[in-house]
Amino acid sequence: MAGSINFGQFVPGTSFLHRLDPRTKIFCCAGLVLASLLADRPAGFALVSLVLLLALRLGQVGWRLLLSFLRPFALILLLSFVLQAFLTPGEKWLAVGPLALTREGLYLGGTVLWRLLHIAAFGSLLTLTTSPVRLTAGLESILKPLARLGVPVCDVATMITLALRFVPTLLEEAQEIVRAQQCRGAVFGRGGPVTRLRSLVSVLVPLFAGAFRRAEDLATAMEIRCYRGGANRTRMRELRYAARDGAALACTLAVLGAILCWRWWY
Amino acid sequence: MILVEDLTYWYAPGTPLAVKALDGVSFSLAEGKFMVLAGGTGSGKTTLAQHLNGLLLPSSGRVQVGGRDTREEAFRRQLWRTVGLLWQYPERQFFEETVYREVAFALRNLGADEEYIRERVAWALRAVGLNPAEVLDLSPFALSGGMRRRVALASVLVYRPRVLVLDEPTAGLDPASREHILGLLKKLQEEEGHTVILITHRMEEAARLADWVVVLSRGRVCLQGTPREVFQNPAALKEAGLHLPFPCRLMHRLREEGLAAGTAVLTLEEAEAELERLRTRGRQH
Repeated sequence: MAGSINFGQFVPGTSFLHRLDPRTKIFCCAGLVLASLLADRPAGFALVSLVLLLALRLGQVGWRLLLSFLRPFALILLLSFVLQAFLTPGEKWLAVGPLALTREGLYLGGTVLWRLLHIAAFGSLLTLTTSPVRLTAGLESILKPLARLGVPVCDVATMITLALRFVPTLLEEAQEIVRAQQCRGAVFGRGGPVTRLRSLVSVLVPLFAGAFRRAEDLATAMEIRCYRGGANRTRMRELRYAARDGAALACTLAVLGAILCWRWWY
Repeated sequence: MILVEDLTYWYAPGTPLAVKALDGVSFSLAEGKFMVLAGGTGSGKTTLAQHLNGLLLPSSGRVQVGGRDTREEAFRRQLWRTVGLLWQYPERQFFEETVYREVAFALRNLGADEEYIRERVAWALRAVGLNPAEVLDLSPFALSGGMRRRVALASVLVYRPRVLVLDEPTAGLDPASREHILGLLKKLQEEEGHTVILITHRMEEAARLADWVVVLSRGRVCLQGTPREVFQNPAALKEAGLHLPFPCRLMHRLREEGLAAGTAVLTLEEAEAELERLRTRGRQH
């Protein structure tokens, strides 16, 4: 756990993905997540996987980095796969007690696993290659039309960014607290339910206390700098679409279109 | 007791954020000695501390405690009882409702019986200069900063680790609390034979307490030796972001002015004696 990069972390760089407009990346990410969800045949899976490989290449993100991001989800992914594989009725392959591994289950489990992995990967790519400031700018710009309906867009965007910004910080802090409590003999992941619960409390209480302290400090710091949300805020760097944004959007649309066509016309 | 050999540690290896936090660090420390680990911010002091009780494992090189390698799985699980590590700002890890339960946490994890725990908690609180009767039932969050730090120290002392590693235990404390904690550490080392490793960037503390000083700079050991030896090299210390203790600085300054002052002084008393010597010698000429 120690010494890896946490989910939601931004890694500075100058790759193609880093230089894309944040709005483009948000749209592409949403489009590709949708494509992952709607893909329903091997050709579709292959196409989306290919796009993911291409995106990793364009963002200069290595396999190991992506895997270290996905590691926290490993248990959930595995569990969902096993449950699907064993609990789906169909042609039996392997019987384990009252449960049976079925062909349909294996296919369904595999599909779900593939989808979750791709969704997490595309999401990770977005936060890996977009700084929190640019991500807010993008969100704010996308949500701007909602301001007419009375939605406080700027505040919402700031809130989302702050939440994203603090995911890695809190994970890091949690790891540090876990290690500190290990120094006092706390045992994690072993022992009976009471021991486990007590160990968990010994991490959660300091973690929350720290989060509140941090939130308070941040609020004070923002107020001292006279932060005001709202329509009149200007940015140091205005967002501007470039040719590469058009290319990225076109590619995403093409992939999404292909997946939709396969699903509904063939 | 503690042997560190060619220890190198990478944070986030294989990623764009990889950092070499420790680079070929070597030192050894005999049982019952007092070592000061000094260095500026970001020099790798805290990372090194976490290697000493097996929280982090070397990327290369090795760390031995009491002759056993911290890589040994079975040993590592027991290591926290031998090497007590007091974290930086340890009071941030508090979570129990009372001081008693907070200090007792480690012993509870060992499965000790309640009577023994009560005895040890009272001893540990007294050792850090708190009155058990007054603080046992208070919430640790209701205490002042200095008292919280003492409670945190008590929660490590309570299980009597033979080696104490303390990461800036006096950061942010008032002078009286600082004095008390440092005095206590020296007493534990001299009277109870604990091995103490104190992480600090205050060289006055090193001068007063240490048998051995290791100075880190950007993950490397840039100086090590007895305090007197280390303070002979002000240039290297400055390079590491540290400065000499006042008495020693004074002597180096006098030397720059052309006086034959001896620079191997650690305390104000020694500085006074040296000045006296210079004065009488000056009169003879």
